[in-house]
Amino acid sequence: MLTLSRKIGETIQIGDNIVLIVKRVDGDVVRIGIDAPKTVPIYRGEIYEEIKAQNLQAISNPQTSLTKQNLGKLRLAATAARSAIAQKDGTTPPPSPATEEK
Amino acid sequence: MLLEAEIAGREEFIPDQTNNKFFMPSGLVGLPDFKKFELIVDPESLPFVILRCIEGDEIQIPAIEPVGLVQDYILDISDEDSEALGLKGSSSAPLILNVATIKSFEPQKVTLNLAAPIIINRQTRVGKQVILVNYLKYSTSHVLIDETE
Repeated sequence: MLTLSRKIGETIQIGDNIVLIVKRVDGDVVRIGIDAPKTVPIYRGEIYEEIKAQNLQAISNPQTSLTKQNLGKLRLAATAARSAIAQKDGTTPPPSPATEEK
Repeated sequence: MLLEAEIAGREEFIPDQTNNKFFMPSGLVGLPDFKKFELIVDPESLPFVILRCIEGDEIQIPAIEPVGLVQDYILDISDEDSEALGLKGSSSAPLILNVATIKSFEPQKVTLNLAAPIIINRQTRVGKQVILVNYLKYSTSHVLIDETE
């Protein structure tokens, strides 16, 4: 990995379009400004790890437990959650797709 | 580009009832090897659906259509992602699904990943788990039903 030392106000140029600038150092916190084209997504590194962990957790539940009965229980909960939110918003809840059909 | 989770109507949920397959070229975040999926939709389980990987190890991922379940859920999609999904100029709204982590089948134990929804172009059937530009506003483990309310 390339490692560079920079002072406050100094920059790092990456390719033609990306510039990093060290804005402030406060103890162990470094504030970095990033100038990049809008098409380049920029995220804090932790978000990837967090999403990966969630995905792994989501697939780790016993596969056989994703039965109609079990999901059916949650369906009722989701319907209740919708009504609660609709009430807060003062709107009618969107019809659940399955009941709409009947 | 901004997307709002809107109910798109049941007939559009999957364009072709006999073929529910879709392709995620970059897989899931952190799980790049799972690319080919089938969407299992059971009317008795909606809004919950199951994404089943149909290649390699069989995995099943529960997910949910977030319409009406999350207040003010506005999805800000980067240009790169919206291009990869072909969303610009697409005539129909994409399918939006949030991965659900089901710790137990009690509603309070179910969390939704709102920061990284799976977005599927209904026409091309290309999908991607995108990290929202405005991800800081949303949790990766949003509780479906908050007991404290």
